[in-house]
Amino acid sequence: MAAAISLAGLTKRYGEARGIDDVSFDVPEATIFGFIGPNGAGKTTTIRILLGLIAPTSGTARIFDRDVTLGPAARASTGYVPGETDLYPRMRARELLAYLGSFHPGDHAARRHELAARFDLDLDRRTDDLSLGNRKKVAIVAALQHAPRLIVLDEPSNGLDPVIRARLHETLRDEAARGATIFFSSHELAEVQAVCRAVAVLREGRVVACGDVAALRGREVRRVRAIGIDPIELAGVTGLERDGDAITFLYDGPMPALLSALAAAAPRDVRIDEPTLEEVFLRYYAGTS
Amino acid sequence: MNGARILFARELRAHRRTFLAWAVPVALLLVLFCALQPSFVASGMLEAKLAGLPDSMRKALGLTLVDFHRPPVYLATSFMYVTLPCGLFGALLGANIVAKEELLHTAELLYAQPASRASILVGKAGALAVYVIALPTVLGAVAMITLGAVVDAPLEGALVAQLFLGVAALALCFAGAGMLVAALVRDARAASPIALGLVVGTYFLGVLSALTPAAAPLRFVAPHKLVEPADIVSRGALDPVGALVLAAIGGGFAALAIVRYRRRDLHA
Repeated sequence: MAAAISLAGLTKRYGEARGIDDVSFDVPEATIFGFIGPNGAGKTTTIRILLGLIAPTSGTARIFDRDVTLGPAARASTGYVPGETDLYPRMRARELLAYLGSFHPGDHAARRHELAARFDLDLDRRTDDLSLGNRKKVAIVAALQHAPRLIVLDEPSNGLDPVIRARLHETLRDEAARGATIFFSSHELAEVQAVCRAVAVLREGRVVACGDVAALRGREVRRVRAIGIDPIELAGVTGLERDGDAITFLYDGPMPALLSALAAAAPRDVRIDEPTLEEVFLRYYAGTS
Repeated sequence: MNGARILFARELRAHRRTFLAWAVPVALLLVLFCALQPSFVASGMLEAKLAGLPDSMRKALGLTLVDFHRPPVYLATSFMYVTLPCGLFGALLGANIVAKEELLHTAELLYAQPASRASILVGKAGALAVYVIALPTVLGAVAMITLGAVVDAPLEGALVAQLFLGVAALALCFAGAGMLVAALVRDARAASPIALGLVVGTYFLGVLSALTPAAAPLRFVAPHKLVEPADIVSRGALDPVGALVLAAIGGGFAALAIVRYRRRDLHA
């Protein structure tokens, strides 16, 4: 499948300070792709390079095979929801959306109204009077109104109530169904797990994991809960917690070694599951990968 | 250049209030000053006092010709009330029109659109030029209408118009400088104060340059000196080369601003 986004060796340094370092991955077309990492990991830096707002120190970023540093053509088929949704003052939402829509060929009025209705956005409200949630809705409608092939969202759910958040997820699934690619940056893992099919995990400016959500959750790591034993000492055990006579931990290692160790400890009960994306994610955050 | 067209229209709309906020008070001041011309002519007191100032001071303040009967000369004696506001308006609007996307945190909304930064800035520069030329044009019309209504002497409209044409060239120069300042500074909040300092600073350097021969070279960093009202009324015409040089410098600064802005990292 062709790549909607292709990053190769993408690096950004701010003087001596780290931005991102050697970030490489592809986002296949027509997928919902999560981009996760803690605050300061470099997610927004990566997105801002992708949109031509800042220049990479080295490496390449391409959208639909167009180099993002070579002019605005790469952005022609892109819609973007920024993380910080500051809007122009003294405008009505309707005017602002028409203004931003005018950069894209065609008449988007019908779709704009349809999206505004879907997100309960009053287009006659003045931008100065909008709450954070409503400003975010304006940014979402602005990004989607021209039916782009690629939709880039940076923490889109901030400020949205649960109902609107669910509508956003539904809308993104609809967009993906019509063939759009969704690049979804978030630190809310439950949301990413619910919406995205594939993810890249960024930590301290570097990609530490990338792939299918199901595969990432299932890869190597298992969550183990054992009742009636003392903590076991075994290579690959992390995040060990004790709760009464139960212990839980993540295990990343050969399964026979785990089973032998558990058998020797003779627990009353054992449960071995796939970890949630959050657990996998926290494991990468903790630097234990 | 779709981006240029969109931004031109957008910035024209966005700065209507700013334009009025500058044009109305300066026009009212000008009306008051022009309306007082018959009183100053009748009393002759101020004229005599100005004529009695030392030559170096008269030269520094642009009062080499003092004849309140002639409308252009009367205007020229206090033309800094037009020159400075128009220069400030140009420089501040030039700085703001570039820096505002970062000040309002709307840079990500605008520059993520499929329009090149160059085309966006060309559109902004176009709207800037319209307003920067419109301000002295409106003020010139106000001055001519008011003077025409109150003075007995011939209006010398062509010469009055050339005074304001000189101001338009000066304002274009400072507008370009304001754009360049905004494109160069890392912190967008610093753009307007620096642009303001440029206008006021170069004006006073121009005044200083006329005070002593040793300070004379300072006139080369004082754009005001190329379209000095006293010189225009003394010569009977605006020096077209000086005015063209100012406009060209403004255009050059704007072009440099666009080149610089294309390459810089934008802060949300």
